[in-house]
Amino acid sequence: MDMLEIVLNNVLRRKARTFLTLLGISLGVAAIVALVSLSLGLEANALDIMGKVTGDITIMQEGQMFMSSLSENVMGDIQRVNGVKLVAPTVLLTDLSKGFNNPGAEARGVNPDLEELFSSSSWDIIDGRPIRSGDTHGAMAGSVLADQLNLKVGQSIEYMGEKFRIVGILSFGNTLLDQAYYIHINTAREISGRSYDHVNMIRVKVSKPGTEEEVAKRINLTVPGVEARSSAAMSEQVSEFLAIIEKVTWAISAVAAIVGGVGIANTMLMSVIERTKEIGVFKAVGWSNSDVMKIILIEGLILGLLGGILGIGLGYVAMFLVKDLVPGFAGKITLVLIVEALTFAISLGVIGGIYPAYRAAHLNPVTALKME
Amino acid sequence: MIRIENLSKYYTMGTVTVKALKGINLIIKDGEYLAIMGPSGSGKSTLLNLLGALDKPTAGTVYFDGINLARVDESVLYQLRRKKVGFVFQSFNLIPTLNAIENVLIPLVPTSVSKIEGYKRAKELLMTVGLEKRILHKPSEMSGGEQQRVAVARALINNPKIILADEPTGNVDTKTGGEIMNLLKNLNINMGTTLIVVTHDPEIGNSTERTVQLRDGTIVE
Repeated sequence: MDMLEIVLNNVLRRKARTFLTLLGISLGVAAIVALVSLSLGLEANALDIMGKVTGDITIMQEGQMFMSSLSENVMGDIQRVNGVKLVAPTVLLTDLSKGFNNPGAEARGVNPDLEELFSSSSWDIIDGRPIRSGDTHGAMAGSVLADQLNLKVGQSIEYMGEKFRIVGILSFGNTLLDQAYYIHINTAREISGRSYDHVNMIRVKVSKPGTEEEVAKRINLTVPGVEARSSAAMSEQVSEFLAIIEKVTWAISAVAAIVGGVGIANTMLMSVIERTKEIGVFKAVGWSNSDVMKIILIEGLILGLLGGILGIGLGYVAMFLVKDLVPGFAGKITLVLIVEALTFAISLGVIGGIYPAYRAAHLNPVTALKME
Repeated sequence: MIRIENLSKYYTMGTVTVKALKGINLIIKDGEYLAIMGPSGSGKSTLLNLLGALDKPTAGTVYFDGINLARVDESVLYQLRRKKVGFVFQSFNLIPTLNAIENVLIPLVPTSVSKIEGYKRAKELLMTVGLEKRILHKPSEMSGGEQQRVAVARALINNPKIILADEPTGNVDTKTGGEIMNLLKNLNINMGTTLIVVTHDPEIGNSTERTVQLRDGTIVE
């Protein structure tokens, strides 16, 4: 027999109490895992989208990020800038009749010929073919969207009151991008009532990798009314924003977990008081103060560990629930997150055990043995 | 050998000071079988706790094999309890969630004795006290006499030099009490373990080599 066996025996002695304590700490840990994993997933998605669809440089209306509106005419000016290889326009559509953020609400108007040149290296055509310049009412569907709505090539869909035929299913390997329809840019302008030359953003590929920053600067200097940002610069902005989200989620869930830790401290203190006489016996048969302290701290550690494992499981489930409810949210559980959450839970258990352990260790054996 | 000089122990209970022992002198030789008798509150248990290094005196000294227990710190006291002393209590003091053999093993848990060696020794001791069929039974599944025999086995697991028994027969019937006393006496005779028994029972008092009578914290004879 060793200390661990005594501890496990003791933890199992009051099953209901142990379970409630574990539930307390595991809810905190679950909150950490679910929230942080969602923010990590968001980050992975956002960073991915920067690199893939936006190309090396994204150009928007000067001073606008979300309401950007440009004329297609500037594409000629941009194409002439030294170091620019390819230019492709995008019109962003949301069919609000389908509900904001619901599957099938988002579409992107692209120039079929330019898009094939621009994206052929980053998309996979899973079924069918890319849209062509003659496809005024043909659409490609992202693979995630196709799964969600069970779309097949050849099938007809309705978007903003118009009928489209699915000509291809594509995958960028990114949840956000794979959740949209891709239609002809002219059709997109027509059905949304925008002017014949309207675009929301223009994407650029540079001739030489590593020159993105430099070319973006050149565009900003030579083309009036636009703002060019390299992917790296955009990712940095996005990362900063996401880092704040991650910190906030940690803070919220840490509060929840600390509440769980207080629960551990409370349970163990009660358990120590209840076992005063037993602790007296341990001391009478030759256990030192630190032996007694050790056994209580191990108990805290075990409670923290079990609560942590349970919490990671619950967090995993919660993450999947949120993922299903909110399309475009991709949870991401990393090994680092698991290790962090477990370390956090174990630390809480041990810290929660310090005072009860100290109290137990310094009991006077004679007084302790007299307890009934 | 244990030598007690001018030993006093006072407790403070609220504003009242209880003088449990008042200047006792006593010498206990190795291998001796001694009974400490006296009415309730005469200081018997207090004396036993001081002999077993469970408590520290208010004044005076206890020399345990030459070590002055009043002068050493806690780390020496627990080493002494671990290596040289075995306690047997009136209320057995077994851990209710552990079975017989696990209870016997408790003193070995913080030591370097291997698991296999520990189990072997505990099993032998449970056989010695006649509990070979109760090894995996919890205290709640055993009679009082059986529980007390587990407690005796627990007291013996570290091969102590001295057994301190505080009313060991107080919670069992007369017949079982007799069996337990025989068990302890045999240890004293066969293994030379010093045996000190606190008791109310005049019969036990009569069976020992020597009896110390306490009254109001002092030795009367």
